[in-house]
Amino acid sequence: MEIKVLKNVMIKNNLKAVDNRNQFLKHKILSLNLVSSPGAGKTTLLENTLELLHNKYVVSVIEGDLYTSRDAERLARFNIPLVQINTEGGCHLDARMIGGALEEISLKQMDIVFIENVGNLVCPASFDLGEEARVLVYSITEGDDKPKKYETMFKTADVVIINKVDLSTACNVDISKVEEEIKGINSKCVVFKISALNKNSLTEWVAWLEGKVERIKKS
Amino acid sequence: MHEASVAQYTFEVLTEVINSDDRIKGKKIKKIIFALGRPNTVMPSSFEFYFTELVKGTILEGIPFEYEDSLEEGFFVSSVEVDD
Repeated sequence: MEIKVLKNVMIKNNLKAVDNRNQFLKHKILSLNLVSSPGAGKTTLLENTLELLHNKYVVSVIEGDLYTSRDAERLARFNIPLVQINTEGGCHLDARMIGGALEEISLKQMDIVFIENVGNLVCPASFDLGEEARVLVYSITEGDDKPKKYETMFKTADVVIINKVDLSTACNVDISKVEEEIKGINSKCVVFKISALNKNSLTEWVAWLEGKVERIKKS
Repeated sequence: MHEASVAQYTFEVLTEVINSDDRIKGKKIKKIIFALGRPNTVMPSSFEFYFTELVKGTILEGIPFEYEDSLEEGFFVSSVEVDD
């Protein structure tokens, strides 16, 4: 006899993501899940974003990494709450890991929680962490053909940051074509074009963050 | 690689179902049917590797499973076949 069950196996992750989201909402925290392929510039973006924001807001970072704490070490100089998650080879962060990390952070008075996911343009797309927004960092050095190839990640992103735009000529990549590809997949996402090494190029991104924080605090 | 997590979640969902669904509880399970939705982001061969390892020594060890297609997005425990 066949018994119909029909249960999505991701419900386990998704229920925990709801818990995490409720915690962020309760404490009026802007939570961002930073995703990208390895080397696209998530940590550099975080470093220079923190340079601009950490004196204005209470910020913490949850660092996802396979085995090392190299990224967390780069951020240690900001003296902010930092939680390292080593996935021991796992290719993504999941909502349970984030739930555990949140127990180590005092959420009272917190304004922003950045979650730096494992560098991978495939697997993290399937795992809701409970974040307010998914921020995809895409390096121009990856070419103009990848958005279509890694469509799920682009479809699920709220923000796409095109990074290393100063290298577009050297890499023979047309920035406007990349943006067109992204918008063709996800017309609703917000797009910023930056060079993460250059703090002056982060103005619009930082203004977006500030606007989000203020809106959440007033909600 | 994320199939390792999917296998873990699947194991937990199945264990819950087997222990709580009166139609299944206490009966011999003959087969499990998974539904592969569109898209599902699960590679069956990779899932099978992790799932088979994970269920060793549990009530689910050795139970055959198969797949059916689904138009819904995601990966599902679709049905469980039990002795009448």
